[in-house]
Amino acid sequence: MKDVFEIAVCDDSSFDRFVIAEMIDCYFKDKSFLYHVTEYCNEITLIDDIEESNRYDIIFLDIYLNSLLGIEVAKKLRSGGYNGRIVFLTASDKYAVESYDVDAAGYLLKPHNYEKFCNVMDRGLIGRRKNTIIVKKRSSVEYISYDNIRYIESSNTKCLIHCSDGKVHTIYTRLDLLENDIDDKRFLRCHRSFLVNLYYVRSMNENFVMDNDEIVLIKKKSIKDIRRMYLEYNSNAVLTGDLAEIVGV
Amino acid sequence: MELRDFYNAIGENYDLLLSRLLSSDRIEKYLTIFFSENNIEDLKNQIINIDFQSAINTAHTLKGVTSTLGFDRLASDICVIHGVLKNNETEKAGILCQKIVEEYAHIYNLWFSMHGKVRA
Repeated sequence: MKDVFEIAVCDDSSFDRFVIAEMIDCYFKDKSFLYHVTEYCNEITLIDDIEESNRYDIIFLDIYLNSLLGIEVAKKLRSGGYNGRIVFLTASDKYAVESYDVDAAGYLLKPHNYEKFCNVMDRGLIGRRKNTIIVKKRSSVEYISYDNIRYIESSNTKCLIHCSDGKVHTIYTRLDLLENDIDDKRFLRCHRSFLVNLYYVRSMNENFVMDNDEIVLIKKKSIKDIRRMYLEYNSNAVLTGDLAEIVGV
Repeated sequence: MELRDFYNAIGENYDLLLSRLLSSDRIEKYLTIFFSENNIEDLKNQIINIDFQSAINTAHTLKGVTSTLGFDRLASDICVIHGVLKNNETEKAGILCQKIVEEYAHIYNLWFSMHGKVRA
């Protein structure tokens, strides 16, 4: 099974389902992980589906549905063991306080507003934290701090995140998307298949030698530029004290 | 006709809408969906058939949809009819519904003239 963010949108209005699905598409466009949206026009099918497989990471839930209130649906889901995130969609703030009872991650008021939607997504929905990569596991989400990443290796359709604790996490994305996401001066794209955290580099010759003796490849044609960037990083790191060890540069 | 001209022609604030939805492509997409659904016709038929519960639900949905699209006057009228329907005020609902249908027809025809099509 691929590690994908599963999102449900439950609203009896096809227009509102379209709007939320479109905003989700737009939000995830430049993000480095996969997602899948399932639309529900009624709450009963949603409840049945979740009873069958508790697979959704996020549920967008209209308040005024066909037979039940969204708040009642959320209570049913929680009592059935659903522990993912719930965001209410509504034109009324009537149930905003009650939404705390079901541990809602957000309460989006209509008219729809893209910026507010993104804020809710950033803040609560995917728990996006600064300077982390999100790794979706089968039943959980793990946040890998940039500090703990030794290097990232591209391998066919996925990337392998090699961490300082020896763990290797898999994420289904392209290395160039991850590279764009990681806005951190420690990370250097040194090869088509490698993005290295210079903090963990022990030395450099034709390739990087990491602090645990692993080798990270350097693109031969770019070696001069990479050496210059590596030296620049080390000079700055010495000045700022952000350096573990420099050996044999 | 640009989107801004369309909103000017119906007396609504395009800049405010754009500041909420951030993209003219997005607005155009949402408008296309809205006009393809024609929920106003559903509302009218439900009121004619005195199916008030369905009309209340449709009006509720339309409140959100029209306000999302920046049709503030239409949204305001729909908000009023929603309350009227809830109070079971049949006669008032009929009069208001006529107003809403006319307002919608005006918006709809302008939209289609903008796209080089004329309503049949």
